[in-house]
Amino acid sequence: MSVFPLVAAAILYLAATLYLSLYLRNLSLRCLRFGRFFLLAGFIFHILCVVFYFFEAGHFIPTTPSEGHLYFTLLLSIGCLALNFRRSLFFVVIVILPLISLALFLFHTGEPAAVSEVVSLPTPSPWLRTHILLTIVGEAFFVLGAAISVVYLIAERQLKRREFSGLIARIPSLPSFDRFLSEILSAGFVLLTLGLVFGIIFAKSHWRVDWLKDPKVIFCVLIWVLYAGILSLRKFSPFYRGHRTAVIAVVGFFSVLFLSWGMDYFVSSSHPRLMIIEQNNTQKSPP
Amino acid sequence: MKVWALGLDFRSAPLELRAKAASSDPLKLVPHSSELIFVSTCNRVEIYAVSEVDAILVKKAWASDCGFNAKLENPIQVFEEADMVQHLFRVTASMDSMVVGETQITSQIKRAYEDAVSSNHVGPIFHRCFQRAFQVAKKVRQRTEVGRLAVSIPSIGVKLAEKVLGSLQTKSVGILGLGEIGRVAAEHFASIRPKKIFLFNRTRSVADEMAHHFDIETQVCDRAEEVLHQSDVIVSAADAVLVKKEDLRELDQRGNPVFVLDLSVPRSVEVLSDLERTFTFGIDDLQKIAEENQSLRSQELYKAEQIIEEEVKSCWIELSPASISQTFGRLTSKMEKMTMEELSTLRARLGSVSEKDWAQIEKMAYRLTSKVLQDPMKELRLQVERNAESESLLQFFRNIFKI
Repeated sequence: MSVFPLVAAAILYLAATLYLSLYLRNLSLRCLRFGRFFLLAGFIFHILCVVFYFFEAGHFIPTTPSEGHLYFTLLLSIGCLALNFRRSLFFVVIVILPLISLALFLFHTGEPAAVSEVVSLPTPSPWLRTHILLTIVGEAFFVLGAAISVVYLIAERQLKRREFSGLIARIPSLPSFDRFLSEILSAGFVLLTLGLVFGIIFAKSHWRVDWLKDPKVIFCVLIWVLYAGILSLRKFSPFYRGHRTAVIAVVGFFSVLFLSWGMDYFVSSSHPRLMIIEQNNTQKSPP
Repeated sequence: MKVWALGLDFRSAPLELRAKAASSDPLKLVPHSSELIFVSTCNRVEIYAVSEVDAILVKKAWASDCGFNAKLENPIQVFEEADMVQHLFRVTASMDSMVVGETQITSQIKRAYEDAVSSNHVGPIFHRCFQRAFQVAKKVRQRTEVGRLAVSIPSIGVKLAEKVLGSLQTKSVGILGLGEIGRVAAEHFASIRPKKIFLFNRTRSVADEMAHHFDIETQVCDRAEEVLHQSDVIVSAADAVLVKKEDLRELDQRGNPVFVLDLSVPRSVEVLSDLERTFTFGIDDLQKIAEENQSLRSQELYKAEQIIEEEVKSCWIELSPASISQTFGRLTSKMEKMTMEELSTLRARLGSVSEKDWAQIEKMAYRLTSKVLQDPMKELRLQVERNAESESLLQFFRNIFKI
């Protein structure tokens, strides 16, 4: 697939960021219209790329980390489109859009190491497909949560330091931001949990190596524990709401980032190099 | 029929007078009104009516019903015709509120309107007028930033507290010291209708008197500590240090965030920087925001007033007795009457015509009338919308058709 449409989408997202920032600065409806137009145009380019890419590849479930990232960025832009209807959440959109652009610019930078194990499946596995999709959607929610947390932490810091910027005036109250963050993290957590369950069911029957000791699996479980911990603690004690949840969401984001992109390059895990040959000859690998 | 509004607000009358005015029965004051809406909030009491009765007469009756001193100036304000529409739009858009831009007034007006609808006191004029007012309020909220640019110190305090704690309607507010500043702050916070207000003053009778005027749950405390232990928002306007460092540490350990506002000079809240869940602000911080907002606000207020003015104009064109819709109504009914007369003459002349044929003739006559009127009416509407002197255009049109 040509790199051009993805780069075009990335540039359009950056233009949307610029115009939405200008809108927040001067409340010009023209800037808002331009911002929304560029966001929608970027999204159309983006979704066309994804459809075209997977149509060319002959499968619609991501099989490589890069393909996973393509889906992942698309989900984030869907999130931005949804948030763009609330003016008070524009700051979150402004945090996410450059991240999507960066991910799209880096799309063709390469794949991780070679295949270490081949698993042949008699029929396409619904467990594996669901595992891949659920974990990608769950991770997208965590990134969204981290973006909300960044805005929350900046606003809280400014309030404590008594710096009254446009951000303070334009975002919703801190508790409503915190509630929204909790909802996003809970959704991500449920999806990650289901994704892990489906992954375990698949691994038990098809992954021959001792998958429980695989570093990527262990790290993923640690991330699950991190989110489970903060979501349960905040239910029982108000001390863990607000600031602490936001900090954990940001830590979680970096962990998810490392799990998705960094780990494949630094740690020897057989998870991304597990090649699964299904009956219809499509190749699948957990993200 | 006359369209008018009468009312008292926090600027024209103190709390006691407003409370008296709120206890009056609007149906007794305006007995033969075709439309009537009574709005009563803690900051304003208003009657909106479409009635044959003159507003000035009702104003006098209301003043005597409330027992206002006849020698003093009557605090009831009168808004008639287009001024009534403008006043309603400004009030609903929260341009006339104590905390400008607060959204509660819109829902209070909505509630008053719904109550009046359920008791069949709303007709076509107020339906159109109030629905339009809600649209205007939304427009002002979406297109301007009037709401966030408070300039009075207590209003900024309320807005900051909402930013830190969310909706104050589920929070308790504690006021320490009920001097002039403390009283104003208490009134501002009470206008947001918090869950409960705790009052503390060195002279208890002052706090008792103030508590008596609030229509929300209020408790007078004997010790400042009682206020500190039970409030989520603490406003201190005392002339001595009432909130010490150890109190702040204790508040910080409570779990839920606490908002502390020190409005006194010199400070009555000690300064502590390493707090996690307690947000403290002083009068200097609020002053800083007020200065920043002052310059931006005039621009935003201008924008909001422009929106309201445009909407009032277009709404009044439709509402006024000599409005375009009424002109069209009169013209249509005149033409219908003429058509009916001509048809009955024709029927007498024709003698025997089958019912089927007569129905066709009738249909043709009405169709012809409506087609003839269509273009002039369309053109008139266009010209009225474009032209500043719409009144003279309408008059000209009415003269042509003798309506």
